[in-house]
Amino acid sequence: MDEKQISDIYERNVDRIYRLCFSYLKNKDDAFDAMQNTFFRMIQKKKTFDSLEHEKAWLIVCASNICKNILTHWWRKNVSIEENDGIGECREDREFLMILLKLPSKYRIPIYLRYYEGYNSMEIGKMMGKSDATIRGWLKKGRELLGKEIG
Amino acid sequence: MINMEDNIRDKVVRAYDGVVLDNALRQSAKNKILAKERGRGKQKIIYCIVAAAAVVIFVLGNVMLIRLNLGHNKEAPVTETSSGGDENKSKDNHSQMFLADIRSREDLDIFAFASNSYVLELQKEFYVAISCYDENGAECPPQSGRTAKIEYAYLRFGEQEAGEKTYQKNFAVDTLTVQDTAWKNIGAVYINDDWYEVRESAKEGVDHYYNIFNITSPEKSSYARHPEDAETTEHIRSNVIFFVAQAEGENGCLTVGRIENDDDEAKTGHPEIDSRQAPDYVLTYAKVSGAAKIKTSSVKSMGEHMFGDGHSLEEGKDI
Repeated sequence: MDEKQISDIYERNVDRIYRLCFSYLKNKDDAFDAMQNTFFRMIQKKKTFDSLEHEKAWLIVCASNICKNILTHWWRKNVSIEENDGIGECREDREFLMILLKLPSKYRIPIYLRYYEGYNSMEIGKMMGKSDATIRGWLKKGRELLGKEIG
Repeated sequence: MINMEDNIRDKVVRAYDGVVLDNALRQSAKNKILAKERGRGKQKIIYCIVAAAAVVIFVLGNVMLIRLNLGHNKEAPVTETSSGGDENKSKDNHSQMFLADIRSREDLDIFAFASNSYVLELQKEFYVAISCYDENGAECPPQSGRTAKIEYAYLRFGEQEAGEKTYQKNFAVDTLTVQDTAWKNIGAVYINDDWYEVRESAKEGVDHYYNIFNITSPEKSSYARHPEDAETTEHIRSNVIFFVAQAEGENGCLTVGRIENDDDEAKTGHPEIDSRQAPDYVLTYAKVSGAAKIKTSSVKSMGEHMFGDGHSLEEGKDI
């Protein structure tokens, strides 16, 4: 991969990966670091992609793994989502994001992948190493929790 | 239900749309990532260079080892260098093998490096390689009470008609040609704790004289006019002049004497230092004391001591 290719991949995916990392880590700085590390890992692995879909899926899985690793650190357990400011211009959207971030990650991440990235439950299952049925169950439960929150 | 899902999708999209990476951060991250890739590129080049160097060193090392091993495993050739009646003595053939195996300047370097022998460059591209043996025939540096025999080979490397590297070697009593002078080695002698190689100028029509090359201390090398010429002999670079005389006959006795530099007036009665059968010997069971200093594995320029211009001859000495 030359610099141009890396640059193109970065531009195509940076926002997506950043959002995913933010969804996992609930923190802009950590999300930024995780996003960078995702691309570093792509370079390190000398990864080549068959298609844009392959590229997108690989980066999502890689970013997920990096975020999960970060979350295992003890100091991550005390990070408060209230520390995030400047996320979104609309107060209503910001409040909904906070609600989303309060969901357990097993519901939060599938919701992000389903409703923002447009993956179906089977694709999400492959990415997360879970069955289609599990993902569908998590999505259902996530929707219920969100429904309760937003009335 | 569908409305509920659409509603959630709509809210999720709007909520995450607000999670945007700052442009400065985005560019900074991109620069870092690209810089990392460039660094990896440089790293790759460095790895390639290091790997190539390692391969070259490995190959050269193996070639050296193979050559050395071949040298140690081959049969020793029969050379004309003999040690009187002691040819049958057990001896280490390693050095002989190396002498016999020298085919190029590189071989000579390996020889000088890998054995107890030493190499002197007598003239440009003209060398003598010398090995010493102890009483048991084992190769050794010349040492007091140990060195029993010296063997040597003359080697010349140069381009001939075909432009190929060629070599010429002469063992012990072979003649060799240097410029216009044919030098015949007629043996080596032990004088005052030093080994001397005696060479005879054999060119027709020129002054007949000997070169006494001090192997132990090359700077003491000197020339001596053949006594029969009865002409002035001047010593060149040492305070001591040696003379050489060889008795008539095939096995005539070779005699080496010494003339003190500051004793020009005394032309007779100089001490005879060594006398032995010549030329059918090199050195057999002669003893050397304090001669270990000759050991050197480097190529030194000794041409000036042997064949350089500027030397004159002192009057010879009657025997």
